[in-house]
Amino acid sequence: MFKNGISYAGTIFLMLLTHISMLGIVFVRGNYGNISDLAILAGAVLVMDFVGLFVMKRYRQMTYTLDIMLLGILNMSLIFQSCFGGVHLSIKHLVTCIAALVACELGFLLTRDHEWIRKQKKFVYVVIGLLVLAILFLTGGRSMWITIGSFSIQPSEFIKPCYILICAASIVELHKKVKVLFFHVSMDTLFMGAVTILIFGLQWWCRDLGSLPTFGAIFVCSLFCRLCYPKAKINKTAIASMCVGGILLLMIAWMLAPAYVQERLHVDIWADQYGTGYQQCQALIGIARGGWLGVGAGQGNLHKVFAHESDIVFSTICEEWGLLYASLTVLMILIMLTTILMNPPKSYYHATMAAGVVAAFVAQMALNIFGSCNMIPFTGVTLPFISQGGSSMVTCGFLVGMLKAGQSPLFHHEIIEITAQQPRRRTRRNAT
Amino acid sequence: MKELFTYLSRLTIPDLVLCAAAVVILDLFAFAVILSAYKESNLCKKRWEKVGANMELRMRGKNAEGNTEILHFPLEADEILLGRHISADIRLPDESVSRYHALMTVTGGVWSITDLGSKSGTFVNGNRIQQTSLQSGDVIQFGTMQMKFTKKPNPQRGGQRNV
Repeated sequence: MFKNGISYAGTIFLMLLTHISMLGIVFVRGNYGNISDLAILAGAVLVMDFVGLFVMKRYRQMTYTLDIMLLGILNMSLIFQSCFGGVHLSIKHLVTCIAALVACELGFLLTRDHEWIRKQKKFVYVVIGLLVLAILFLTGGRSMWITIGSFSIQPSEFIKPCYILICAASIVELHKKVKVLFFHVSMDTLFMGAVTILIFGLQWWCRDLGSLPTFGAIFVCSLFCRLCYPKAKINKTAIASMCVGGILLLMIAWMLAPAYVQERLHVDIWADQYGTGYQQCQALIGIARGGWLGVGAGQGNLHKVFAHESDIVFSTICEEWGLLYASLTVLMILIMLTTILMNPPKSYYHATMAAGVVAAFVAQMALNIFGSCNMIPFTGVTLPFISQGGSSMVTCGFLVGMLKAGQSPLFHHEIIEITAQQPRRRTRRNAT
Repeated sequence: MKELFTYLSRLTIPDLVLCAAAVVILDLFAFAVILSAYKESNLCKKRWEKVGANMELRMRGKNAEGNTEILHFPLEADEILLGRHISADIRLPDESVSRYHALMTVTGGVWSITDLGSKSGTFVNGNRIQQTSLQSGDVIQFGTMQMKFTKKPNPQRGGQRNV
C-alpha cells in the first residue's frame, strides 16, 4: 500500500468525502423524525469506512483500488437503503454489507493462486453438485429459495462463482486432448459442458428464467476465451458459428418458453397499470418524479411498492436521489469492472475468471436497470451491491474477490518473498 | 433553456449547491479511482518482470521486411505456448514444428519447458526432453528451429552503449 501511498490516500479521502456529502444531503433534504436516526446511520457508515480501511491495511496485497471501491459502493448502498421510506439504519443491509466484505476477502484468498485452484477443481464440482441437490430437495418444489423461519437463502446465487471458477480453471487444460470416438476433445471441456447443461436445465425447470441470461453471459464469455486461447487471436469462423448457434438456441428457447414469459415480452404496462404492469409503471413514474436531483432521501413514494429495495431499486434511487446520482452510482460499479482493462491479468486463468465476473455483473445490471425502465421485460434480478438480499450480496462480494485475485495474483515466487519480508513490516520505519 | 431555468428556480439554493457538490465529489472519486488503477498497473508490470525473471527467447529469423536479424520474444505471461498453430503465443511457422509443440511455464521465478507430444521432439542443449527447467543461455530446439533462452537486454545499458 505504501508504494502507491499518495494516490491511495487521495482516493480514500474522496471516498470519505463522498459518504459525508451524501449524509449532508440526507441531513438537509432527508425525511427523518429524529436527528438520532441520522446520527446512528452516519456513525455506522463512518465506522464501517474506518474499520474497512484498517482491515485493508493489515492485508498485504499488490492492489487496493478494488477494495476501496467496494467499500465506497457498499456504504453508498447502505445510505440508499437506510433512507427508503424515512431515515433509519437498515441493520439487515449493514449485516449483508459486512458479509459481502468478508466474502470478498475469502474469494480473493481462495482464487488468487491458480495452481492451487487447479488442483482443487474437483471440490468445486462437488460444491456445485451439493448446491444442485439442495435446490432439488430442500427448496420444496420448483423453487430456488430455501426458507428457514424468516431467513431465506437462494443457493443458485452461490453457483455463479463456482461456475466461473470451473470455466477459468479448466481453460489451461485445453491442450490436453483425448480421443473420444472420432474426435480429439479436452475432458475438462466435456465436464464444463455437462455442468452448463445441468445448470441451465435446473434454471429452466425451476422457472428462474431471470438468472438464465446471467449464466448465459458467463458461458458465452468463457466460450469466447476458449476460442481465443492460448492467445487473443480471434478465430473468425468459430465466432461466426458461435453467433449462429446462439441465435438458433434463442429461437428454440423462445418457442419453448412458458406462456407467461412470451406474454411479458409484448405486454403494454400502461394498459394494465394496476395489474401486471403495476411495478414497472410505478418505477417509471418514480424516475420521472425524481428528475435530475431527486425529491430527497426518504421523501419518495416508491417505498410503498413491492420489491422497491431489490428489483426496482434503481427507480427508487432515481426518485429519491435523482437520475444524475443514480447514474453515477451505476458508473462507479462499471468503473470497478473496467479496472481489469487498466491492469490486465497476467494468466489465462485470471483473465477468464475476470471476464466471467464482468459478464455476470454487466448482465445482472442490464437486466435490473433496463427492466425498471421498461426497455426489456421485468425479470426480478437484483442490482449488484445496491439491492437488498443476503445471498446476492455475499455472491457479489465473492465475485469482486475473484476480480481482485486477477489484479493481485499470487505466484509461488512471491510466497517466498512475502514470508521473507513479513518480519520487516513490523518495524516502525516500514510502517511509516 | 427556459425550462431549465424554471426548474432551477424551483430549487432552493442549499439544495442545489449540496446536490451539485455531492455529484462533483462522486465524479472526483471516480476519477481518483481510475488514476489509482492506472498507477497500480505500472506497479504490477514491474512486479511481473520480477516474477518472470525478465527472460526472453531469441532466434535468428526473417523480420516483416524479409531481412534476417535476431528476433526477440518476451515471455510476458505465466504460460507460453509454442507451436505452428496461428493461436500459439510464439508462432514458429515451420513444417518441422508441431501445431502445439511445447509449453513454457514459470514457477518461483524459474522457467520450465514441457513437450506437448510433438513429432519432432523438443531438445535443450542437444538433449531430447519431456520436461525440464531452463537456465539463462540454454539453447532450445523445436524441429529444425533453434532459440536461445536468455535475459532481456537492459534498455538503460543499451542506451548508454548507443551513446
